[in-house]
Amino acid sequence: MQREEKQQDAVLEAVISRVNDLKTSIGAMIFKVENEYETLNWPNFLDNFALISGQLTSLTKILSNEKAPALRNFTVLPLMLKPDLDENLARVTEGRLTTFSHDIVPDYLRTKPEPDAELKMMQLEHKANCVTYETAQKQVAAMNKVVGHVWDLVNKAREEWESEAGSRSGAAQTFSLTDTPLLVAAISMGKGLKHTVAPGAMMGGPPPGPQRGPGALGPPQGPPGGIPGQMGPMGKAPSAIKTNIKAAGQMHPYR
Amino acid sequence: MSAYSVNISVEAPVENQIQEITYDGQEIYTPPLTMSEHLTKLAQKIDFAKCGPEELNKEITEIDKNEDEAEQSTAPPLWPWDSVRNKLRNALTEVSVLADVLSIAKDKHYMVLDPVPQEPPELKPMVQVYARKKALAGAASVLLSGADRLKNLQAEALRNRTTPDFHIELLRLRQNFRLKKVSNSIVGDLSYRTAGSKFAQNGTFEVTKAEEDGDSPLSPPCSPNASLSNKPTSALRVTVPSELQGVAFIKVFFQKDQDSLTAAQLNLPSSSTANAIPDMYWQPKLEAAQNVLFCKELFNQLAKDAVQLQSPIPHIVVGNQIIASVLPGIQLVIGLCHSGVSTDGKTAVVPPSSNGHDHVLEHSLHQLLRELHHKNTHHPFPHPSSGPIGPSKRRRLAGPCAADREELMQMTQSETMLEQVIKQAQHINLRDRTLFVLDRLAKDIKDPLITSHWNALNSPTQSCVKINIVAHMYDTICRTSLLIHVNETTLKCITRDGRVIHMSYESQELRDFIMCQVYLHQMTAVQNLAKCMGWQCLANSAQLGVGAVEPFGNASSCVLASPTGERLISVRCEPKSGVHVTIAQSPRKDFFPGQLVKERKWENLGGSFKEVRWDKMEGKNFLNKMELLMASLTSS
Amino acid sequence: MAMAQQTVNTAIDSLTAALKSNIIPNQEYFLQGSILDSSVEVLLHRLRGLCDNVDTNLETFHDHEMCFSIRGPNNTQPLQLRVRRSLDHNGMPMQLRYIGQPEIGDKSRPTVLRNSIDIGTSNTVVEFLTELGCRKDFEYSAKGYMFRKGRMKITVFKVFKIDETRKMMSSGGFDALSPLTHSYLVELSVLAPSGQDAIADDMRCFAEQLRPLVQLEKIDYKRLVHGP
Repeated sequence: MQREEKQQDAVLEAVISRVNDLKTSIGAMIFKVENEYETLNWPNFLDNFALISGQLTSLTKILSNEKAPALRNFTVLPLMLKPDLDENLARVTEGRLTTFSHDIVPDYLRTKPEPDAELKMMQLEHKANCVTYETAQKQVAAMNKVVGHVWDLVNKAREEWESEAGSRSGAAQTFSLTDTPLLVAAISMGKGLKHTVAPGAMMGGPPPGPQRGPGALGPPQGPPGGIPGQMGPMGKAPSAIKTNIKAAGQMHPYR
Repeated sequence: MSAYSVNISVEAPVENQIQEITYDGQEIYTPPLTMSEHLTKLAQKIDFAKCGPEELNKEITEIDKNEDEAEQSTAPPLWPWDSVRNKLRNALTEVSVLADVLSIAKDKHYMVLDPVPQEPPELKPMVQVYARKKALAGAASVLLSGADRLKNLQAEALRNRTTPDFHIELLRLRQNFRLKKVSNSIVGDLSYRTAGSKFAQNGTFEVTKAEEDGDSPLSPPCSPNASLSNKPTSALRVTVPSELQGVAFIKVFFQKDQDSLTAAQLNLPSSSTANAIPDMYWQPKLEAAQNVLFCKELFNQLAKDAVQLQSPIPHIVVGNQIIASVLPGIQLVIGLCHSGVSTDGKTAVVPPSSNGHDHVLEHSLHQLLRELHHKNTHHPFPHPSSGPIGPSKRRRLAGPCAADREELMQMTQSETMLEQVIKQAQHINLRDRTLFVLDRLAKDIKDPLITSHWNALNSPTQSCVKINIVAHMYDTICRTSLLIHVNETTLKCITRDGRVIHMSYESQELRDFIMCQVYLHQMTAVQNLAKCMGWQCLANSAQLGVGAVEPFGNASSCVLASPTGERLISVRCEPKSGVHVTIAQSPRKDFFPGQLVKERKWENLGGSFKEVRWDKMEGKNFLNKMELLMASLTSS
Repeated sequence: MAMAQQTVNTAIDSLTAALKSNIIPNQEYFLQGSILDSSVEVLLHRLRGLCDNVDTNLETFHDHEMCFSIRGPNNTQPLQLRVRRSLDHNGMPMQLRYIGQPEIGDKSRPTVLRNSIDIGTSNTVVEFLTELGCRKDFEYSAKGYMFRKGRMKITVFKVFKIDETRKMMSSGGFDALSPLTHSYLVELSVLAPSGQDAIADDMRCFAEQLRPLVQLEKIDYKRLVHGP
């Protein structure tokens, strides 16, 4: 029960907010129509209408949500009527109501539809009643078929357009999310680049410096000659390097 | 008849209501209401609450307006919107009520939503069918009418292919110029800023639709916007800033020295028809404006250089002319001619050589400015790539190669445009002079032929010419070649034997030099000819120190002996006075033994030289004459 | 002597003045991203259109970078120095560069900011560093393209591992390079004196224009490395 109440409250909240939005947009539209009718142009007007219709749609969506309890099952039960001014009430209804007294209740809580709407409903019902059951069924079936057909067409067209647009924009990923950090780490910290040539001596650490001292053979003759010359010793057999380490290891003052 | 009449009595009904009927049948009437009580009763009948939310909402929505306006807003001009507005009002009412009810119910203070079990609602399929059919019909009609309208538009566009579309024109314009949309207008840029120019003048132009009338007031939403009215020429109109209108060009020409420099205002000889066509097609118009901007920048830069440069004869900037001295006595005048600019009414003194302006130099100026722009944008890329963009390769090497201060200073110096143009002008001048001198010489000197071959490829500040001196019919015997490099103010001559001679711009020096070379050629030719003829060269001297002092150059001579040794020829070439040939015979004809010289054998010592009358000698040219002379001396 | 003294003083003075007046570009603003090999052509076309100097050809480069580090006497954080040389332009000097710790900053900072001081050196720099006591941490070869827009430099390059066993060959092992990944790294950087943060916004605008091909963003490499 608690849960249902909570659900009910939540749904009510959502509905109220949507209704308020709808109200504001209608109000805005009226304002616009009344004041800017000289500068109002068709697209603008249609935009407003579209906004309102969108809000109506969202309202219906909420109501038709399976979590929402069917509001049909609820009646609005007035609990008390007070002829006194109520500030809270005024605030909640934006100044429209100040007293919850008996004269406003019939207007506010009436369930009869508006005369125009009622008239239309009556016309439709009258028309419907003139038709026999079988014809009614046939017509219903025909309508369903036609509407279903149009719905299919429109859906197919939409799918085509969307896939076309999607393929044009290149659905393929042009960059790999894993490669970026890999590359950045490589050039900043050397991750993945630290060589492990001779597994014996060099495992796990960068080769120590001193072996480059004796490795700088002769005067450097320009970069291509110089650098491979210096890197040369590292490609040699590990045993030579080991002896070098032993010899120069303690001497180095900068370590 | 009156017997059948019935008396009818008319009496007012009982006005006062019966309050009470006592048990004895007496009726007690309520006392009639006093006026105030009556008013109260009537007032009570008015249900003030029945005004309801509708009225309140009306007040809320009109809260920011005056009430007068509120009343007026419902006036007739709203007629297309009236029904819409009313429907919207009703909708607002309903929605407000709904909102209020829901919020009050949520409050749970006055109302609460009470769950009440209800039977499921009954379906009325036919009603739904009819309702939906109506709705779908409405939507379908809107879509169909829209589609029809689009189809009609397209069909119309297909039929009227000839009228150019604004958007297609705009597309073409955008392919050539940069365009940007700024609030409501389209603005373009025709300056050279993106190409590297740093000129401050604005080059923006505006693009508008070419319509005669202004935008018509928009009609109600049922009709689309007013269609474009297309001009016969183009659908676009381009507005160029006033200072860039018209046609401009830079005029460059040489001027001989004048003592008083007249302040002449250069004008186009005939005002072009640029302003005649008001609605010109946009491409030439924009190009002309761009050219004007370019010329202005060029002139501005040159004027700045002229003011800043220190030269022996200062450059003068007057109005739209810059006068720079190229060589003493010759000036270079650079002027900016702009036809769109209104003259101030000063009488224009057309300079004398206004017809022969130097197109090459003008083109050079354009190229120099473009080069400046290019340098501003094209900086060399750093290698390795992590270096800073900006320094040139020399600058990058300056550090590691330990360049000193001098080298660094040199790197920062560069020639200004005016200096470069002046150098080019000087070179043109010098080249023309050299040409003139060589042609003159070739015309004047007939005996050895002087031919000059100018290099086809040369730079704006250096040309080369190769001069060949040959005698007609004896070109295999001897040919003297010279190479002359014509720089801006100097000439450098390289002879075949490796001598390098630097000359100044005076043409007399060149002339003298060539004359010297001609006579040297003669001398060499004679010796070569002698070899061919079998004659022997006994002595020769290129710079002879005997005889009269020559005004320029030196005399040269040689002595030739015949194969038998009996005859001698002595040739002396002087650049000023020409050639002198003398011959001598070895056994003297006129030997008479005297007191001192008694023996006969002394006649073999050879006689004195006698001059040959060279002008009477047979032969087409000098070498020919020499050949004949040698031939005759050999045989006799 | 006095004159020489004088010139030396003015040179030092001018250097100090230059340092103080904040005209030496010692800060680098940069953004990084990557793009797959298959889409590099598209990116190059787009960059050619967006960047300066459309009329010149694509500028390629092939560099070799070595990273050295040296520890201080108290076993503090090692100082990292980078030596970079150009393999296709042999006449250009080698470059020695110090890059400081990058400041990622918060959302308000559009780019990464780091200290960067570089100098051109002669060919003996590696020997020099070795003598000083630096040791080589790692090296790699970068081959790619360079673009320029105003002050911004955009490089698109591939990182290659250098095969140690072929080092002794005359080509130095640079003919058989193996790529690290199947992507190109894209870097957008500006060298500027400190305090010119407005350039960072321009960089961000430019980076927006390269989406969705490449996502140029701030990458904190310190968080990426869990190990040597």
